[in-house]
Amino acid sequence: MIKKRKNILQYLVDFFSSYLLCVVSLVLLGLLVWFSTLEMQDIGLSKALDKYYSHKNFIVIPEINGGKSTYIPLPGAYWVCCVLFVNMLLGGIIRLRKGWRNIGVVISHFGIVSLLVVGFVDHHQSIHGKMEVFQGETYDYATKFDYTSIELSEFDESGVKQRPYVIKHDQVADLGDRMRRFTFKALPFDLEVRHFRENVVVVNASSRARGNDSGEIVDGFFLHPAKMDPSKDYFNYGCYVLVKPKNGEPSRKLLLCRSVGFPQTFSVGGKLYGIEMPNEIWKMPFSVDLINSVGEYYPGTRRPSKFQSTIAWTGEDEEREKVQTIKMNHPMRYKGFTLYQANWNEPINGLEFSGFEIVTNPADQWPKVCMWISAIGLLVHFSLKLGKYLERETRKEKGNKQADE
Amino acid sequence: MNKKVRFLGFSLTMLIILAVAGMGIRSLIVPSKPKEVNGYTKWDERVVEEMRSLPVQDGGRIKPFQTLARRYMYSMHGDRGMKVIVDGEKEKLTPTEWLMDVMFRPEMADQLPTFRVDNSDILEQVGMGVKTLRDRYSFSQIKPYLGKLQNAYEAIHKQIKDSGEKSLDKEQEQMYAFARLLQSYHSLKNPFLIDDEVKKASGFYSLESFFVSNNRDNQIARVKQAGSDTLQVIGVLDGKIVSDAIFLSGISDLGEFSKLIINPTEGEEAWSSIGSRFAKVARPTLEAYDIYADKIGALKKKYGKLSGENGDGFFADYLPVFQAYTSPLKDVQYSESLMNEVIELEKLQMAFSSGDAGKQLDTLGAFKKKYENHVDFGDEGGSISGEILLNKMSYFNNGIALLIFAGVLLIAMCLSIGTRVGGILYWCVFGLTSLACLFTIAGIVHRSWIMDRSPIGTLYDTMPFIVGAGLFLLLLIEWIRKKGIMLGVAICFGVAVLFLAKSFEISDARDQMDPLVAVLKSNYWLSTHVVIITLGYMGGIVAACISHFYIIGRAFGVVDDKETRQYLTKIVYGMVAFTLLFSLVGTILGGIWAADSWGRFWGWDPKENGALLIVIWMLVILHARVGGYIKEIGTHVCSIFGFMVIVFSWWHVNFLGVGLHNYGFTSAKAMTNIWVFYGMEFFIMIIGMAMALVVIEQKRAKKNTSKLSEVENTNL
Amino acid sequence: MKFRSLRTKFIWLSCYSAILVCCKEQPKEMEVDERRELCQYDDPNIFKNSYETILGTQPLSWRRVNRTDFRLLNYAVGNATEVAVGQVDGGGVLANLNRWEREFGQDVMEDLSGLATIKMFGERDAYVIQLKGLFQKKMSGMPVKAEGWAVTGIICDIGNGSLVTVKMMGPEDEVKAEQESLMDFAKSIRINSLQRVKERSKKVDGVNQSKKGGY
Repeated sequence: MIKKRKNILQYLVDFFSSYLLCVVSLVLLGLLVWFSTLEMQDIGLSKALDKYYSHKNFIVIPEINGGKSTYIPLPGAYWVCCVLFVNMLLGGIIRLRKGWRNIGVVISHFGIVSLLVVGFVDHHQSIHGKMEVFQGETYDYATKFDYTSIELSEFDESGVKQRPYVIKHDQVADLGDRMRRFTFKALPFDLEVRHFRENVVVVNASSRARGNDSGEIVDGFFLHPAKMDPSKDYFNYGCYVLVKPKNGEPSRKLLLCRSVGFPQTFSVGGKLYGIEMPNEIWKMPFSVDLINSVGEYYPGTRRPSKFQSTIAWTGEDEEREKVQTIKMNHPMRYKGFTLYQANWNEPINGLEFSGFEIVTNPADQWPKVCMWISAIGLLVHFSLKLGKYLERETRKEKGNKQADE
Repeated sequence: MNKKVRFLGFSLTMLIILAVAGMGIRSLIVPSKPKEVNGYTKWDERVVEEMRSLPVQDGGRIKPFQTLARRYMYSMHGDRGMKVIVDGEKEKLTPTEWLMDVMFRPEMADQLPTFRVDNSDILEQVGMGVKTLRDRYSFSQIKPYLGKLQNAYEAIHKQIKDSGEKSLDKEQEQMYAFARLLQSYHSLKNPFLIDDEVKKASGFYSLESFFVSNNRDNQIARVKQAGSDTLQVIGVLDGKIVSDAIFLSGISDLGEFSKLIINPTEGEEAWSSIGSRFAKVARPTLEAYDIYADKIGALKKKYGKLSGENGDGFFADYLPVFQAYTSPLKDVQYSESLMNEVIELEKLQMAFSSGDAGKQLDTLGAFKKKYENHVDFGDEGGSISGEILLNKMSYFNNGIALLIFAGVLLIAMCLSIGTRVGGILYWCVFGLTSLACLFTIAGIVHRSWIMDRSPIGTLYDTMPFIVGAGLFLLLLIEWIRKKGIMLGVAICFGVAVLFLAKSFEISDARDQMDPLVAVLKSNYWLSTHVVIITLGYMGGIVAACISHFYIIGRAFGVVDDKETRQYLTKIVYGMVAFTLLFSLVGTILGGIWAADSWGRFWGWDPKENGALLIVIWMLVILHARVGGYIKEIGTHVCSIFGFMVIVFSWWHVNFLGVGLHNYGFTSAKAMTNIWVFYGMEFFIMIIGMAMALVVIEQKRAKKNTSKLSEVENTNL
Repeated sequence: MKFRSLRTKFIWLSCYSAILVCCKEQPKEMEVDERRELCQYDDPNIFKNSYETILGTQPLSWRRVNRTDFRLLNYAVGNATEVAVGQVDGGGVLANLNRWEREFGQDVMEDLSGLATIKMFGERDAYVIQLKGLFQKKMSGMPVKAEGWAVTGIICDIGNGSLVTVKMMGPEDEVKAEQESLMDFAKSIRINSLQRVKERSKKVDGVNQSKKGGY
């Protein structure tokens, strides 16, 4: 029999639907998950996620045991999942022989493929933020986790702040010691950002306790890189900024740091500007007032037994405010935003306080459906197999009994 | 080779594996020889019995005194009982007896070998002579070095404050933990009696006398008694203030045992201990005294030694100081209930210190009766008698004993296969294993009933659950096809995991039934996600146990017929499928729970990653098998690797120090054991892979031979 | 074309593309046009940090710098001037004002009469002192000396033995130019909660012989 030669498309389809690719992808994914789990101890959760699971990273070289490289280049987990998705779609659903025998497998594969889709949507579309609310004040914004930003705003003659320009995290995070210039069409100056650090302490220049590796001193302070505690996963971002007026006025050096919390001001051409480095601000379509924040500890311990907050919130389309209680496992939902009770503290300085996590994710509720599909598929498939096995065993035993007789 | 000899070799190997595992687990506990204690007298059994069931509020729930005593004993002594030699005879002290000694006969307790020290180098650092690296010491042995230990503790405490806990090396961590245990021990002693030194310095011989003297009328009467002599009046007033302060400082921290009285008040003071309530009331007095002492010191400096000449001038300056001290204290009143409760505790202490068993029994009985209405379990569930019964039944220990007995009978059964005796022994083993399974399940149900929550809430809870479910499943499989192999698997599996549970309970030294943190307080999710994931762990562990039997059995030629091999492989395949189903569903349920609680379905937390790794590996096994990349031996080798993945997810991730399930700082001993386990499993995998290579070679040789004979025949 | 060589070419092409993507160079210049809507974050009077105990309406020409030991709010003004807001327990208004006097080599005051006052926290009187000359002090363990400097200091007793201090220090001309801003700022200061009472953590440590009194 003459073997039919495959064309490139057929070859690709065979390759992408093969068992070998499935097994190799799963093994690679397993290795990536394992290495990322071990590396989290050293670099923290968010950095590990960025390194292994970001769609921007095609190749990952794991480092373990305190930063020692393994010299094993692995493909990024996002891309491995893409390959798995294609493999399951082609091999596990499209090309799989349909019939009562395989119906369970097809269903479960469909469930897993859907789960991967959920994962992709979550990765690209979901946004997480934190809103810390004090009693007595109204809040209509959250800050995004682990995403710094540089905000530049103008103040008008009466000192009112104008809408700020935002330089996002991705635009500065790769800088290190390098410099990047940011230009603004409508403003009379450019900004040069340099020495961006993920975690710094702001040191008084008169203190001799620490060396100054950047050589810069601004307003009597400089930034000293600090080792991050991986278990706390908190980044105190910092950088230096040089304001370069286009009109020939002298440049102005400023020090930005997340912990400072207020704009550094300067004037160019007689106008006043402010620049600061908050975590990226995320305006909400609703405002929140904390009515009360209640927490209970187990008797005689500092272990929280329950905590909840009662808030009055007003949506941007609503006329009247609504009162709602948010507690663990019972979030508030509004227009695609979900507000979770993330943490609770005892009253600080006599004022009640609550921390909420805000999430927007279009694929929020899909995992439940995917789980049911996969579970039903697996159950059907393995039940059929078990039934066949038991039937075979019964037949064998009957046969043995008859043979004995 | 004779089959029986091969079987003995196989059994020996399995026992060696279990022994290595057992030694690793046992290394978490310090063995030591019983110490001689002179003049020790045991408590009256009736008194101990009555004390066991005394309700105590601790860790957020109400529990019997016995449970609390166990917790303290685990943390300090590292074992469930204390072996001592009294007058040449070995005695075993229960946790209740030991704690009663600490509380009411501290001079006796100081002789007992209470403190387990894993690294005696820390004692050598303070100048104490030691014999072995790991041993137990009494408080009286350590007492001469307390000052140096205190200094070391303070230095480490400062380092923690300045540079964090992670800056400590292993020895510093151990020193710090040991010093804290000593402080805890000290606070347990004579909890309701005032220190002799404080009594002497203050002049108050009891709490009752203090309350009587604090009565305002008594104070005024005392001043009047002093007459009009200025110096005398100053002496009386100042003396009273100083005595009060000394006395209050001695009792404002009434020790951990003020928990014995449960305060049923509502509001802020609900469930607060006597000590904390007393301290709250006493605080203004102590703070005022602080300021008073500063000012008196300044006056002393100004006037020098008091005499008839400068007395009046001093008094004129002293009076406003005195008034400034007393005026904020006008409202300081010790409530009647607080006073009565404190006095009741004192009575209890004195009765127990008297040595009269009858008096102890009567006082304790009256105390329990008086406060029985204060016992309110609230939302957390609980039952004192139920918990006493649970402790008495010792379900899991009895389960181990039954399984070990079944194991001995199993070996005897295997040596008499095919005989009538072998048949009887088979059913004995089956019965004993079933009984062990029932005991385990009963223990799980009983605990769950007391806690009023789903059976699994902590790491400890997973272990008996895995054993109960695993034994049930293996017995079911054995029932379908009575080959006896599953009984052997069940026994090894049950003994190993229950023993692990017992050792973990002691080394963790926590009450495993304490209520859960707010985020875990959901019976729905605990009953679904946690139970399903744990069943997934169970499936993988059972599969791996069977694979151990297969590989070692095949290496010794015990598992040599094709039918048995196929049977075992099919069971393992089935268990892998079971693991996949439960791990996948459990993992996704966990994600859904996380999404409902924190808004993110998947956060790549180490525990989540661990669960995902199990799912991935099971998928690898199934797909590799379907694709023909692995066959019989390969399935078993992969199943053993799956066991390592499960241990990584179940245990290893808890010690990584990051994520939601981390234990704070690593337990070095536990990590060592985990790595030893990985090494052992790798060794068995290598045996399996070597076996697979041999089989492949044999098949290839057979194929070549048959091809050759084909060619030869054709040529012919 | 042979099938095998086609597969090989495909694999090489994929690897090359991957390397190209990984080694993509990052831009040296970027234009920024994204702007955000204003929200409560931009209200200068809102407490953003849960642990901030004190806040004031910052004059726009001031630059806020990192808080340091004893300085809850810290600002840089002009070229060399700094403003520090602190909270002190104990000592009293007079003692603290005299401390500043000594830094400028001035004679200590006997009482507060003759000092200017402003209102802080609504109704409370805050004392204002203005000094100039040669400044000498040990800061961070190092001696500091500056000629031609001035300081404007404001102290307010907020009760329970607690004082809030506002101190502007720097070259004379800069300090003079910022007087009005300083007074406006001081008047705008508010504390997160005035009911907060700093607890004294001293305990009577067992039998403390030195505090026995002894009469």
